[in-house]
Amino acid sequence: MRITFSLLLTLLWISGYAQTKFQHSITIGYNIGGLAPTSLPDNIRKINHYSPGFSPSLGYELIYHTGSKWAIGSGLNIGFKNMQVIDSVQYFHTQVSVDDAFVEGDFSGTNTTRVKNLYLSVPVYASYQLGEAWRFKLGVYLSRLISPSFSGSVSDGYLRKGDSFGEKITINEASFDFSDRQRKIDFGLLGGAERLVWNQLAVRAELQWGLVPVFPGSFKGISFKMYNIFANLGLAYHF
Amino acid sequence: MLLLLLNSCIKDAPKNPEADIESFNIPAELTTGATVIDQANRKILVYLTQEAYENGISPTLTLSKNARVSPASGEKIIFTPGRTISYTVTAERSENQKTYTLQVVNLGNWKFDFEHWQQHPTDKYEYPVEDDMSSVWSSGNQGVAISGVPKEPGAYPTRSTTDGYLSTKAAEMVTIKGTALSAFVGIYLYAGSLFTGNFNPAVVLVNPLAATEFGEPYQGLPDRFSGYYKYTPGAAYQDENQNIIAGKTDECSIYAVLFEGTERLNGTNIANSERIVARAVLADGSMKADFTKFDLPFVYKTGWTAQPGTKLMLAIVASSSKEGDHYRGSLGSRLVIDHLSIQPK
Repeated sequence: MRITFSLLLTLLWISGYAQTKFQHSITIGYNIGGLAPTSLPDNIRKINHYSPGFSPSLGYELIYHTGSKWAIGSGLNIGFKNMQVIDSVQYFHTQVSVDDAFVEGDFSGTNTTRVKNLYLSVPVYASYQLGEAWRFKLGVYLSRLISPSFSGSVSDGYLRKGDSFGEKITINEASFDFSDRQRKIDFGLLGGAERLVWNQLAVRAELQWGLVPVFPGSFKGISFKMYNIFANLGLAYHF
Repeated sequence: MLLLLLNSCIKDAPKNPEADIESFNIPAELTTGATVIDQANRKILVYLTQEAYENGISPTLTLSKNARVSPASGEKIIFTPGRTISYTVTAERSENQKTYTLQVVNLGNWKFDFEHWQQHPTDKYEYPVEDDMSSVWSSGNQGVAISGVPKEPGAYPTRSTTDGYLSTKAAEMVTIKGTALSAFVGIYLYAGSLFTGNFNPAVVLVNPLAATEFGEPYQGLPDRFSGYYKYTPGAAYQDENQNIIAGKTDECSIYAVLFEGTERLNGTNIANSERIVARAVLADGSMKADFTKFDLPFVYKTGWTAQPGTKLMLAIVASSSKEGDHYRGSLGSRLVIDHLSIQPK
C-alpha cells in the first residue's frame, strides 16, 4: 500500500513540475463480469441466474503525454468486483474444511455463489489518441483485496463422500464461506477505449482480465481455477 | 441475453461416474427382514427364510443411470457354504467399478462377544463383525466420518478395546467433542453408540435421527437380555448448545426392543412406535468402575401374543450418553459392553 501511495505522490509531484504534459482524470464506473473459469468445466450443467450486483468503482488517473498521440498513465482505483450466480452442477469436486476438520466429495445439485470483493487497484498503461474523440489503452493492473466476501450455498442435491464412489449424502442446503481463502493480491491485463462526448467528459469501457487464480493452489474447495474477469463501464472527467 | 451467452459455453454432460446398486429386490415372502445396502462398506445384507436360502434367489437390481452389473439383475443366485458372492457394477464412465459383497445374515444365536472387528478402508472407523464376518452391528461412526474427524480408529466414538470382560476384546463407546465442521451445523458432541441394524448416511444431514435404522430379524420370542458393562461418566454435562448443566451427571443407555414387521425402526420412533411389543431396559445408567453383569427380562405389551406368520425384529441399542441422539451428554463418558446375549423363551 505504501508503494502505491508514494507512486501516486511522485506522479502528483511530477504533474506540478510539468503542468502542460499532464492530464488528470476522475473515473466512475460499474463492474460487470465474474469470478470465473476461463473455460466452463463440464461439471457446470446450466446457469440459472446471473447478476453483477451493485459493483461501483471510483478512480483517479494521471496521464503523461509523451508525444502528440501517445501517453502513459497510472492512478488509483477502488471498486467492487461482485457477482451472484446460481448454477446446476454435476459431480462437482469440493472440499470443505474448517480448522483441522474437512470433508471432501463430489456434489451434484444447485450451487449459489455470491461474490462481493472490494479491490484497491493501481493501473499502469499506455494510451493512444485517435482523432479528437477516441483514446485506446492497454496495460496491466495490480490489485489488493481489501474487503473479501465469497460465500454461498449448495442445495437440492447430494454429496458423494470422498469421490464418485462414495456413499450418497442428501443435502437440502449447506452454506459455505471461502472469503478468507482468496488471495489478497490480483494482477492482470487491462485494455479499453474511451470517447469524448462533451467538453472534458468521456464515456469509457475497460476490460480487466485477472491472470492470477483468485484461490491459491492449496485451496481444494473448487476444482477449477477462477479468475477476475470484469468489464468496467463508466465515465471519465479530464482536467 | 448474458445468460444465453453464458449457457452457450456449457459443455457436453460428463459421463456418469456413479456405480451404485440402488436397490436389491427380493420378494418379501422370501425374507425375514428388509434388505440393507451398506453403501459405505459395499455390502448387501439379506435376511432370508430357510427355504429361500436353500432354493436360491433371483434378485432384481436397480443401478446408477447407465451402469451395468455382473451377475445381471434377475440372474439366479445359489448359496453354497464358503462361497463369496459379489456383484460388480461398472459405471457409464467405465473405468469406475465398484464391487459389493452379498452377505446372508443368519443370526441363529444372539450371542455377541465383539472379538472380530473390521475397518472402513478409507475412513478407518471400526465396526464389529460376527464369526462368519457378517455385519449385524452399526454405529454412528459413519455419520461422524462425514464431519471430518482424523482418519484413525481412535478418533471415532465407537471402537474396539482390549479392556473387555476377562481380558477379551469388547466394544468401547466414548462421547467425544464435535469437530469444527459439525459445529457449523450445530453439533458439538458425538456420543458413542452401537446398535443392531444399519446406518443410512443418505439422510444423516437432512434428518439425523432417521439415519440410525434399528433392528435385525428375530426368530421366536426373546425372554431375557444379558451382558456385562462398565461405565464412567464424563465430568461436565452439556446440552445440545454446549451449555454446561451444573449438577447433572451423564448416564449410559443399554436396551433391547422387539417389534413387529420387516422394516427397521429409527431414532425418530424407537421410543414410541406402535409396532413395539416388548422391551428390556437397563434402568441404572450410573457409574460402574468394574464390569457389572446385567440380566433384564423382556416386558411384553399386555395382551400381545404372537400370531402365526408374524415377523419380528429385535434391536439392541447402547450408548455412552443416554441423550446422545440429541447431542447431549458429557465429553469423555465411556461405556464398554461385552458378552451380550439374548435368551429365547
